[in-house]
Amino acid sequence: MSSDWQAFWISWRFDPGLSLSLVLAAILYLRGWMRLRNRGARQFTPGQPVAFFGGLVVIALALQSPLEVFSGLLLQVHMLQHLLLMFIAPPLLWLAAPELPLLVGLPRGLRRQVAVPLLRDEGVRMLGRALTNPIVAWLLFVLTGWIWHLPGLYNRALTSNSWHVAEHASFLIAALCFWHVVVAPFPHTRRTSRWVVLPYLLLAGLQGTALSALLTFSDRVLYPHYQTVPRLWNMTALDDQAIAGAIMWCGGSFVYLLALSWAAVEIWNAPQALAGGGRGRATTGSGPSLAVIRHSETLGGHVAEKPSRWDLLAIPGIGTLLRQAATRRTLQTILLLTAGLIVLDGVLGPAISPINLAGVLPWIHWRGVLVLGLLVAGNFFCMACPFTLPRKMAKHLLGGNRAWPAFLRSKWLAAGLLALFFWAYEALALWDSPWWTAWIVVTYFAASFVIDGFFRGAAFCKYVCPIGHFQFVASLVSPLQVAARDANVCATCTTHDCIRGGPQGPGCQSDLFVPQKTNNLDCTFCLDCVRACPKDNVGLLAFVPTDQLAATGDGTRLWQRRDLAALLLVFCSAAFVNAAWMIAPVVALEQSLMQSWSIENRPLLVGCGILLTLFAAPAALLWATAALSRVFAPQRAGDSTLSALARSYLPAFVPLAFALWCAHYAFHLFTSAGTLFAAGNRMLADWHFASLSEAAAACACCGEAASWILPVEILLLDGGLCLSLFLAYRTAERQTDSSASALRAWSVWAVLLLALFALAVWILMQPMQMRGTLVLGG
Amino acid sequence: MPRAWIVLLFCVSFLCSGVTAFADGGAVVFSGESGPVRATLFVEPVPPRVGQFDLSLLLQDRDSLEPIAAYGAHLTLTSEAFEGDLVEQIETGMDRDSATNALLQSALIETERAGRWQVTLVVDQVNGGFHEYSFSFPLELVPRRARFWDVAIWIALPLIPLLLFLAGRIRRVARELSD
Repeated sequence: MSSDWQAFWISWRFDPGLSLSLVLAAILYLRGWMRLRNRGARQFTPGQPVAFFGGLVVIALALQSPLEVFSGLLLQVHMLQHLLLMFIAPPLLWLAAPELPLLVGLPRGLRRQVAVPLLRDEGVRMLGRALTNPIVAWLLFVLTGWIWHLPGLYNRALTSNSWHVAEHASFLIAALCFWHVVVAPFPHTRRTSRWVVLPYLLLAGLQGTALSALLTFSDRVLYPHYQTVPRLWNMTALDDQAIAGAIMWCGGSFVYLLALSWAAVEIWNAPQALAGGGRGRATTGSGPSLAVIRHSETLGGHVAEKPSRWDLLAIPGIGTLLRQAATRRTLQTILLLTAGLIVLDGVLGPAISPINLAGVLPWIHWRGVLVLGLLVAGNFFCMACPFTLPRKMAKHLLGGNRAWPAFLRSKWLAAGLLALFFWAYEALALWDSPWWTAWIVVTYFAASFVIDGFFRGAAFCKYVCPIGHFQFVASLVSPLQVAARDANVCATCTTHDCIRGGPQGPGCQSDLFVPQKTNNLDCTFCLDCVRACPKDNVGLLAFVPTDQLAATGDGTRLWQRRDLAALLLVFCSAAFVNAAWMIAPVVALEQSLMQSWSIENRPLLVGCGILLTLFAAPAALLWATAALSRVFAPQRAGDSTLSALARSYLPAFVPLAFALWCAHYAFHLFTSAGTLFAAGNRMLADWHFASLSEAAAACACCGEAASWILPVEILLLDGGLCLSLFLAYRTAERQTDSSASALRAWSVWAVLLLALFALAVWILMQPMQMRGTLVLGG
Repeated sequence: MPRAWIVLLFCVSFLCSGVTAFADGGAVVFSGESGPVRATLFVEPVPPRVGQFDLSLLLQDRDSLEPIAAYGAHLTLTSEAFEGDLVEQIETGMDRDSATNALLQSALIETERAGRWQVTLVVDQVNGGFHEYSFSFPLELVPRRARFWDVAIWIALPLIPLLLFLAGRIRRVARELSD
């Protein structure tokens, strides 16, 4: 074998994403197929996995083998690649009747909470119906082929990786639609007579012949790219083009002929079906996706679907560890020691943020880990909060049996303190002041000690702690919630140990009664209720992220509370204000205002800015949107005031705001994580435990953002936007009497959410650095 | 339902992540002969932009056009801020390991300077020989695209679930109105 042929055979392009997708599809299919076979579904034959795996292998060959690598040098290789994607892989995949096995093969939670709702969605069903309509599928297939073979587009695909991927994706999708009509895989029924398949294939073959003839008999090279690339194996570009045309002609015709013969044999063998269409018409116009669900429920429904949710505490090892009170105390002790180091370094160390633990640990690492933890799990920081560690001692010293004043039993104080915290953050430049940071930590300890020492329960957590309240609101979007595993067990419970406490341990210090708990608000994940419940009926259960905010019935009244609305408003608007105050245009605006108005007192200006942007402007915007939505769609009786209407929609803004918090804090974590080592090294060097490494300090902070960070940030916003739009629609449905009114009311709120999404994207696209934390200049 | 849409969004984004993959290949920027060899250089992306770009070389026998396997290749890129004023020079070797196509050798180059560059390619040790063959050609690097275009696909992702969602709701409204 010559060296260039050897080079050809070893030129593979491994794409991890594609390979993973194909392997995952194979595993899911096999799992589902075996489950269906075990349940006696005779429609699933041993040949089907072979066809499915064959289809996947053909896709892998087309997109990862030397065919892909050499497609830019030889048109015939490119044509072979397209032939595999359009004529071989799709029919093989459909012959495997893959939809049902893939659905049944999914893990139960994913199937029930993701796949089935998606397939049931009216939009998805419409799309499915449209794409499997013979006329639409035929046109899509033919037009895709012709449009991509236009010289301009073809050349673009050859010189741009993105366009090449788009070309292949559209070929595969169009071909899947086309061959779906021909194969009509189980459980679908043909929507037209089987006879229609004959002209369907014949006409497709004819147009394919025309396209291949154009390539084969053209006396000029149609795609200039192939004229510029070096000729391999002494083959001219025109010869290459003619061979490519022949491959398309012969290969395509062969597959069409095979399919025509198969359709003809099917018609021959089933003459009785002529009148009613091949396999009978679909019984309803419900669309293909519903057919899949129906059959999955029929065939897969024999397996008892446990009603229970996924429970973190049920995982061996992790569950046991989390249940132990000692685990919480250990975590609290670790954070207490860390807080001690922060205070020590903040007071005694240099006033240079990036090399001081008080400058980096709270503002870069803790915040980043905190929001990511809330995103993927829940409010675990409150669980490990060091401020509450000496609570028992405080209560012992100061009495600890007074009731929290009635006039303070709301979220007003917490919302105000949270706003004050954001003001202090900007006005005192906390991120750049280790000294202030250290004293805030000390003050926090003192406040929690005194309040918890004087008052009953966890008064500080429930009514005061601004950080805790930030987490309470953020954890409304978290997937985990402390909840009862089985409501029936709670219904028969008479001791209520989860709130009152019992022989197994104290009850909830925040006075949350587990059976009535509908969200994470006020829940510190202390797990006292888990330990107290004698029936082991409390777990850390997984919920759909919007379940907590999309409350129905009595839950809706919760969001009408004005104090709670104020807290949500601060949380949502601060997400934008806190991120925006980091970017150059806003800093420049602030400086220009100070200059033009000759303001010397920056804290005062920041205070006015905070009042305007955290409260006044957002409230006015909400009020105006509520007014507009009421104009567009009449509301149900009872929600008469604009303020009440605005409060109803406010929870819908939480996911988008939380996404921005995550994107913002994760950015700092990802770009400046190394500061921990620099600051730690500096502190150890100060105490003569290590030698100072200047290189570590110089490289640790504010490094250039990797290219993947911005897409990840925007992806977080994408998710937040989708959840917010969905919650707004649920609210609109509740607030109005008809689908048309709900859609009109929702559209007004959707415009506001989209505008906020655009604003968030704009903020994230600005250069964002921790001002003042760059050691060397900046 | 919202979880379904989010998972769909992430699946689509996972598949889209492959779009940005960098690879050797792309368009031919130079083809020329020197001594017994013919060199063709490809650039990716097209047009080459500041930031990272990839230059790949296919070396062939001038007469038979048979690809040559054994040779060394070195690139020197010299930027010209304006006529004759040397402001930046990049030197790099090319190798087969960084090329997906085993017929090629390639080099990944990174610069922040847009404008006209002069590229000099020196090929030596062709099939173990001692001769050096030199090629020179200009290369125009266009400025970086607006940052928005690098993430436009990510920004537009919610459109897919949003449009599907809207289509379903509008259909429901239409059905209710017709009833």
